Parts: sequence; structure tokens; C-alpha cells
Amino acid sequence: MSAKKWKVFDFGPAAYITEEVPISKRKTKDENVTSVKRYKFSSPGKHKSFDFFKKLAPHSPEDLMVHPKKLQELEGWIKTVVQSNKMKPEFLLISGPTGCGKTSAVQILCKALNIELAEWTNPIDMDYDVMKGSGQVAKFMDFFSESKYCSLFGKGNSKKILLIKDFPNAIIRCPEEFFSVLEHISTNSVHPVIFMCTDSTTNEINLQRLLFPDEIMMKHCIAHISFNLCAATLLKKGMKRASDILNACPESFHHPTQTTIDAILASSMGDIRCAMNQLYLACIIGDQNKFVTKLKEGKAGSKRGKNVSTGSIKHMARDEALGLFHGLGRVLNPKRKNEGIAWKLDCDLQKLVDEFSIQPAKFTSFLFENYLKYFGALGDAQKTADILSFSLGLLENWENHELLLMALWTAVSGVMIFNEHKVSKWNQIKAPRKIERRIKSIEEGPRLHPTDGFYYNILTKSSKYPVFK
Amino acid sequence: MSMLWVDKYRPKELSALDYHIQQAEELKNLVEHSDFPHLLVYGPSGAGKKTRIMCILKELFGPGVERLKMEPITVTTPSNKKVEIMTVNSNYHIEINPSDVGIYDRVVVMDLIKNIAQTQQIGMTGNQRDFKVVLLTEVDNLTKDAQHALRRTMEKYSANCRLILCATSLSPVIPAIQSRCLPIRVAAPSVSEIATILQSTCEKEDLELRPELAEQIATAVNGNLRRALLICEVYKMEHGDLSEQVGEPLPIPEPDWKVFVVQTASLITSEQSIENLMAVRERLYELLSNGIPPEIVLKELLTALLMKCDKHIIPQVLREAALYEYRMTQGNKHIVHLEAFVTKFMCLYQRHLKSLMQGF
Amino acid sequence: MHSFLKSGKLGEAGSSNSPTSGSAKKRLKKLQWVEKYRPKTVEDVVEQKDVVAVLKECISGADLPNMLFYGPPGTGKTSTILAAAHQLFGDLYKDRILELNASDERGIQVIRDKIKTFSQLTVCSARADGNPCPALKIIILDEADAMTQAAQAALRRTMEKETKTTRFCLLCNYVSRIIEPLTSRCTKFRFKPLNQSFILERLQAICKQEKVLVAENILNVLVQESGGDMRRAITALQSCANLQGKNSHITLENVYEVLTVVPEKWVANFLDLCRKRTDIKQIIQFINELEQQAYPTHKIFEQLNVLLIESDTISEPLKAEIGEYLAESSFRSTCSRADFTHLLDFAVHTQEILTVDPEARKWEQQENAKCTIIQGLV
Repeated sequence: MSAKKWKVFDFGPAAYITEEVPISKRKTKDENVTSVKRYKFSSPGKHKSFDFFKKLAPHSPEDLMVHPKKLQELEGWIKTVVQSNKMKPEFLLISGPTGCGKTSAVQILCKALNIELAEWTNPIDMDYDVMKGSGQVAKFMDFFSESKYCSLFGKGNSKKILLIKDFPNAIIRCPEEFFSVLEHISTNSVHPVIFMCTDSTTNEINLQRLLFPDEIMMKHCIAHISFNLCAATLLKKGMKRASDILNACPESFHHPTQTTIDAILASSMGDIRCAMNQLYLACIIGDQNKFVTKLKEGKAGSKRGKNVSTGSIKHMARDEALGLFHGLGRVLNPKRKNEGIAWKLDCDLQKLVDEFSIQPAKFTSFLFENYLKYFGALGDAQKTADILSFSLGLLENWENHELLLMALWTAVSGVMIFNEHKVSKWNQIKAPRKIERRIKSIEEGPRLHPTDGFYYNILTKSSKYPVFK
Repeated sequence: MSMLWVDKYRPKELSALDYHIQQAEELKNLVEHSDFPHLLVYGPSGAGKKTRIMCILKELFGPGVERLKMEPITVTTPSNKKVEIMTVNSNYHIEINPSDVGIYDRVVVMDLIKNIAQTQQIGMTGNQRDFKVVLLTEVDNLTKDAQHALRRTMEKYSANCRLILCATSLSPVIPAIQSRCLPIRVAAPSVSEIATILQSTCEKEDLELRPELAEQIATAVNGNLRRALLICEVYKMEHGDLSEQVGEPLPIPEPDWKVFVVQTASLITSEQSIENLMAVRERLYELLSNGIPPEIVLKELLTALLMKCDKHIIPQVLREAALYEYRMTQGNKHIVHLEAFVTKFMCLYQRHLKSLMQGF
Repeated sequence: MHSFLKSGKLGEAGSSNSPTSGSAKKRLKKLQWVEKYRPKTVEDVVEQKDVVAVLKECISGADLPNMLFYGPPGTGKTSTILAAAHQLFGDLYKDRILELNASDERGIQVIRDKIKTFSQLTVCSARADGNPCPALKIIILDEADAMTQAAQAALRRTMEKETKTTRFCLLCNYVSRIIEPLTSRCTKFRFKPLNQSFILERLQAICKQEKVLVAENILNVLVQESGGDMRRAITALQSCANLQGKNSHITLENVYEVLTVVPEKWVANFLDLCRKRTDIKQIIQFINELEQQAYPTHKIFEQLNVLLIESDTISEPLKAEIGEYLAESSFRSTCSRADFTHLLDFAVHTQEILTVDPEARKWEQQENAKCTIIQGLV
């Protein structure tokens, strides 16, 4: 059943979830998921024999592309809570960017340690009443208490962990309700609970900040593990593993060439799920060259994340693969197009700015750190320095997203336009330096202003304060 | 190691202060006769703000405030980052410098005051004060956010907590805080006052200080008494004798960072090019990362540059300096604005040189 | 500290959980004069005739409208509404008033919860002692202009829904920061800055009561420098009295220190320096000395401005030109930790304006502009 297949890709081992989730919920979930996703990939007939994602999904902790330290941390937590005999639930909050393997890590580890994992899914029902506010929350509450008595559903295995990934809408609308739910379950439930929040870089709802403020974290002793983006080396390892698996069954797939894999690596930005998606796409379409060129003509302009497949296509066409460094190169080495006496920048400025709109401040800092090496005349540098200083002023208004974008626009276009006497040579790009105050104002010994450190050094013949050459 | 003179001879009582005597008396009245208000002590570096604050505290609580201990406290931010900050405290007061933790100052300020205010003092015998004092230094470095939080907390907990704020400049302190505090201005001591203090300090050390040297040091330090005492001690260490002048008058030792800034200024005027600019950037980075406040870097650099440039471009240079100084206060990437100023100066300077050439 | 009374009322931490009644009593004795000498009845409120007339009517039985008081600080906005509430409710005062100022969290959430629940309470129309009083509650929102737009919008609906039992009184400095829908629901009263003679009168009364010794002319200076702000004047007076202690006269220096006024001579010297063509070193020297005195920069600029405007020797066009620089420098120095740059910038430019012939200056500016353009092209 293809529905099942998609579930696998979304949540890992299918058997677990389907058995745990109460029947009514499962049904709705399935309908929902398949109706959306099936249509996106009109099923490629000949691949039916090979369940791509099931094969590629990690099966053991070794397969996970998560930093070993984090994995260890998580494993430690699971082991201790399962062993402890407290009649109180333990809580854990896992946060991290999309596609860094949070869910898989939990699932695989639970499987390896032989622990049941029950996941909550939002009831999205025809039954309209449930949708409305309190009904949903009541169900949510039920989930915890049900799971207390549900040895009937389970396999008679008392070790069990609850996983909350979907937060009911009602709760997001009104965090107080969530706090009271927490209060309730901390007294009424016994199973450890794992909450999972995706970091959001946009300024839309940030679940972690909304639902898990400090007081709550402290009050319920919620442990916190935060995952990072999938590191490049890990990603590479993962891709290698994937292509090895693919090579093992040659009949059903076009094999992605090394260039394709490189392109995927370069463009997935630490999102392993996105990378797998792209790989799958590459496999079923086959003829990469045709695929790439064809896509160059069409504009795929949607933002990454909203629509994974179009986003990844855009990245895969190698010309368009714009990592941070590539983008920096574009800005620092602007190309020009002459039109009579006037000239134009030969690049899609909009696209460049879009690409970095997630972290305008970081990108501007990168620009500042590196721009000088690409400039040939002092006058140009002066104008650029001025525009950068101006745009940093704008960037201080971090609560206003529009203004941040504006700042990015000024910085990018400033650096590109003012660079009239370009120095075209290869330069290593440096990360912005952080200035940390090396001397804290309160320390042992006499407290002096840093500007008086010189005398202190002489008097005590020490070198506590930094020395200037 | 024996204590520095600065600490050894720091006055401990309001009545022992050497200058601003009228003010000291008034502070004494304030402590004795009234419900103690929040204070905002301001004045240039090395003018004796801290000394006065400690004297006030002693006047308030007695010698108990001198039993100081250092203690780190940890505060958790909303983003779940643990921030550690060093405090100096006695049974009656706690001192922190919130700007040590950068953008987390708001959390630290709120948490700390809340904690202090909520823990009642129990069993404080012989002490009729029913409040503790929170001493915040460098409040002019606080972010606006933190200042607004401070204002709220200082109202909420004013029943059992008093604040003493310490700042170099009043400008960055929001009016709402200014209006809730009693301002105490600590002006820098005059040259003659510094010279007298140097003399009396040397007397206590059984040394003889020749008046010209005292005068010379006092003039050089720009009203910074702390620096004057440090220089005096350094002088003693390096030259041994302070009473007799041997040979040529020895120069007052300038702090190395100042020399560094002046060198940077020469670098800027020596050649105006991208390569040079990069060298200047390195130097600016070094200054900032070694804890020299950016506004002082700019001020010293500007002063040094003004000495070197023609009076025709001075107004323009100043205009630009003021602009970038302003931008610098708006954010925390100071280096960008400093560099922008340097580039602008280079351009102005270069252009002026060129126009001079054309004139000939 | 006029807030600590408020916070007590709100049941916040602060004074409500202070342990012994003994310490509370002691604190009461040392009450801030601002609180102590608040007008007790609306008749005591000075100068704000319109609002006093309306409130008098209300106290004698007329219906109370929603109100919006606006005007500069220290003109009696809070005092007026508090006095009126006292007269209206007498002992029930505490239950009938909800006072929120900007120091309390006032997001939408508070509007929704606190204000809504409070406004939904029903009240009866008689006091405990049987005297009639309106079946109303009053919600006072101090510093309403500091509320977010969203919170103001949320208030709009509440205001309308609860008209039966609740009246709102919004207090703010700038009416323009209150959203239109709110202002249109309120009767607006403008509070004018108080006439100095009223403040003087009040201060004299306080001095008598508190046995503060102060010379007439010094009191005059205090009133003048506080600029029609009664609260500031009274607080300053109390601070001065505290600094001076019992049985001694308040000095002019006290007043200057407390109100952070820069002594005349520094400001005058500043302007004099700008009138002569001097070396840059001399100006730097002067600014350094000025900085060592630690006077607040915004005050320096403020007083320079006054001096400049009153000056007879500077022509009006030049004043305008200097004024422009003054405004900019003053603005830029507002958050600055190194006012040196801005003071120096202003001094040099003023000197330039006052000493260089306007024609020559114009020419120079054009030259500069030309250079900039040329440089841009090369």
C-alpha cells in the first residue's frame, strides 16, 4: 500500500505507529497524508517493487546521520528514564531544524532498546466538534491517560515512551492550556514524554519559545537536547550509504551520477530528508542532463520548506546552487552587462536576496568581513563601508522583518554596485570574527578599567591585561 | 603582593573623602534623614564614583559591607542558554556589571533584582534598614530593553530593594530611569586636587614627591584620579626616587593602548590604500577584543587624527565622526562603523592632499 | 516611588508581602511628598478648569463618561482621577479601581484577562455605610501611549461591551499615539502645563508644612527649572531637603544638582569660544574640561539652545543655521557614551558659522560638493 510507504518516509518504521495510534486517528491521518502527497509524485509504475524510502530509512543507530554526541545524550536519557521507577513522568524536549533526523533518532533508538513509542497525531476528523478548541485538547489529555492503561493495545511491554510532535492547534493558540495539560500529566501519567519542536528561522510561531518558556522548563524539570543541522560530512556519509543501497539493486532505478550527488549535497543545506527526496527524484527521472537543462528555463521560485520538491529541483540545477559561499562570491564578484553607456548588474538580485533572507545579519557580517579584498579603489571601499554601516543600523530593528530585508537589499546592492574597480583573484572567505570581552569587569584582585590595565601589568609584573605591540 | 595604592588608600568613610566635601556632607544627610531613594551616580572614569558608593553603603549598613565575597551566579535565558555572571556581594548589597553578559543583560537584571527583593533579610540585628542594595555598574552600557525592564522592576520591588546605578554618561540612560533616581554628579577632581592627593598618598608611603612631578602627572591624566595614582606608583617603581630630579625630566608613561591608537592614526595618514585599510582593521579588531571600549577608541583616534590634519577638512571630518559615532551607539557591530569612519577619513585626507598638489 | 502604592494595590510582589506592619508604618511616615500632597478632592486640583467642572457634576450625580486625559507630565492627570475616585467611592475605593501603568505588563493578554475579569464584576450602588455611590468601576490606564497598537485595539471592544458597569480613564502624554477608535470613545481633556505661580504657591505650602528652609529666590529657580511639572518640582524639593538635612537652608547648588542644570558659566563660555576663530586644540581642551564636569549632554544642548535664541548679537539667519546643527548633534548624542565627538562637532561648526563670512562658506561648500562628485566619477 502506497499510503503505508509514505508513512514510513515520514515517521520511520511503520509497524509501530499504526499499531499504537487509536483506530479513528489512524484513519484520518492516513487520508490526510496520502491525499496530499500521493498527488505530488504520481506513482512511477515500475518502481513499485522497490520501496525506496523503506530501504533507505535508517535501521540501526549506526545508520543515523546525527552527531554521535547528541545520539549518546539521547540514548542516555532514554535509558535512565526507562530504568527509573518513579511514578512521575520525565519530560524531554528535542529541538532542531527541519530534517536533521530528530524523529528518526528517537524511533531508531527506541527500537534498538526495545521500547514502545506512542505518537500523538492531531485528530483531523470529519467530526467537526472535535476540531473546535477544547475538544481537541480533551483528546490530547486522553492520549496521556489512555496510554496509562493501554497495556491492551501494546505488546505487554511496560517500557513505553510517548512522543508529541504535533501540537494541537488549540494549544498553539493558547499556551496556557498546554501548561495546564503539562500540570495534569505530570501528576497523572507515568510514561516518559518526548516533545519535539522544529526550530523556525522565520518569525512565525516559534513553538519552543511559545510552549516551553523557562518557568515551565524549570518547573517540570524538562530536559532539553537541541539538534544541529546535519553536518556536511555526515550528509556525505548518508548519501554514500544511500547510493550503495541503490547500487545493490540495479534493476529498478536510474543511477544518480556523482555530479548529481554532489549537487544534492551542496544544495540541501544540512537537511537530510530534503537530500533523500532529491535523490529519489533523481532516481526516478533518470536522465539528469535533460532534467537539469529543462528546469533552467522554468522558474521555480517558491521558498524552500513550503514545497520541498520544487525547492529541491531549483537547487539541483547546478548553476543555481547557491550555498552561502557561492552567494557571497556572486555579491563580491559582481558581473556587469553593458547596455550602451549604461550598465546593469548581470545577476538576479531578487534571487540572491531571497536566498539570504533567513539570516540577513549573518550575511551582512560575512560581507563586511570579506569585501575589502575584492575592492581596488579607496573611493569605492568608502562608499561600501558607509552603506554597510548604514545597513547594520537598520539590522538592529530585528523585530521588523521587512526592515531586515531592506537592510539586506541595501547591503547587497551597495557592495555590488560600488565595486567599480574590481580585484578579480581568488580569496579565501573568512567567517565574521566575534569580539568577546576577554576581561570581565569583575574578577579577583583590584578592579580596574581596561584602559588602565597597562599600569597594572607593570606594577604587578603580570600580564593579566593584554599587551599591545 | 601588596595592595595597589589605589586600593590601599581608598577613603572608606564619607567624612574621609578628599574633595567634593560639600557633596559628601549632603550624602550623609541623605542617609541619615530620609527614606533612602534610588541613586544614579554619574561622572567620568576615575573621578571616584565607586569610592563614594562604597562610602554611602558603609554609612547605610556599617562595616558589614566591607566583608565582600565574589560569587558567580547563573541565570537561564528564555532561549535556554545558561549565562554566568560574576557578582561581588556582602550581606547587605550585591554588585554586578550587567554589560558583562551582553545582550542577556535584561534577563540578568530582572532575575537578580527579583531574587534579592523576594528574599527577606532575617535576623539582621543592629541594622534598622529593611532593604538591600543592588549596585549596577556601567548602566550606560545597558541595552534599551534592559533599561525598560529595570524601570519596571525598580518600581515593583522598591519596598525592599534600592538601586544604586553607576554610569559614565547620562545620555544613554532613558529618562524614565533618570526621573526615578536621585542624580549624584561626581565631577573629576581638578589638577590641584589630584596633586594634593598624590602628595598625601606619598606621605603615607613615607616618600617625598616633588611638586613639579605631582603637577605633571595631574595634568596628564585628564582628571582621572585612579590613573594618576597608578602612574605615580609606576613612576616610583621604575625610577625609585620621586623627590629629586635626576637628569632630564622623565616622560609620563602613556598606556600602551593609547600609543597603539596614535600609531594607528599615523598609519592612516601615512598612506591611503586598501592594503593599509586592512592593516587598520586588524588593529581596530585588536583594540576592541582587548576590551578597550569602542567609543574611547573612536575618541582617541579622532583626537589623534585631528592633530594631523589640515584645518580645512576638520569640520567635515568631525561631521563624519559624529555620524558614525551615532550609528555605533545604535548597534553592537562597532567595528563596521569604525572602519567606515577610517575609510571616510582616508578619502577626505587624500582628496585634500591632491587639491594641495594642484594648488602648486 | 509613587508607584509603590500602586503596586501594592495590584497585589503584586512589592509591598503587599512585606512582613511586618511595623515597617509598613515606618515607611508611611516617610511617604513621598508627591503622594502626601496629592490633591484630596477635585476642587483642590489647580488650573484644569474643564475637567474639574465635569468631574464635579459627576460626583454630584451625573453619569461619568469614559475619559482621556492628555498633557505633559506632572500636570495633575493622575491626581485628578484619583481624587475623583476617592470622592465617588469613599471606602470602597480599593475595590472599584483598577490601576495599570506601563510598568505592568500590558500586552493583549492583560487586556483580555485582567481588564475583562475586572470589568465583568458586578457592583452595587451603595456604600457600606449606606451612602449612595454609582454602581461603577473605574479602570485607570496610566501611560496609555506606551501600550502597543494591538493592545489598544483589543481594548476597544472591551470598552464598548462593558459600558454598563465600567468606565475607562486613559492617561497619556501624547494623544496622537492613541488609536483613533479609542479617542473617539472617550471625552478628551487637555491638561495644560501649570502656571509657575501655582507651583510656587504649592511648594511654599509644602515648605511650611515640612519645615523646609529655603530662600524665595531659590524656590523661584526651582520652579522655573522644573518647567511646569508639579511632580518634578515637588520631588526635587524633597530631594534637596533630604540632601540638606534638618535646619539648614537649601542652596542654589542643591537645586542645580537635583535638576541636573548646567551652571550658566559653562554654557556661556561654550558659546563665547565659538565666536572666536581658535585653534582646534583649544576647543578640544575646553570640551575635555566640560566632559570632566560630567554635565549631561542633552542639558548642555538644551541650555545652549536657550542661550542662542535669546542672544542679541547673532543674526537670525545664523541662528537658524546653528539651530540645525544643534538639533542634529543633540539628537545624535542622545544614546552616546562619548559625547565628546558631538560636542566637538557642534563647537567647530558653530565657530565656522560665526566666524567665516557666509559667502566664503557657501563657495567652500560648493567646492566640496564638486570634489565629491568628481571623486565619485574617478
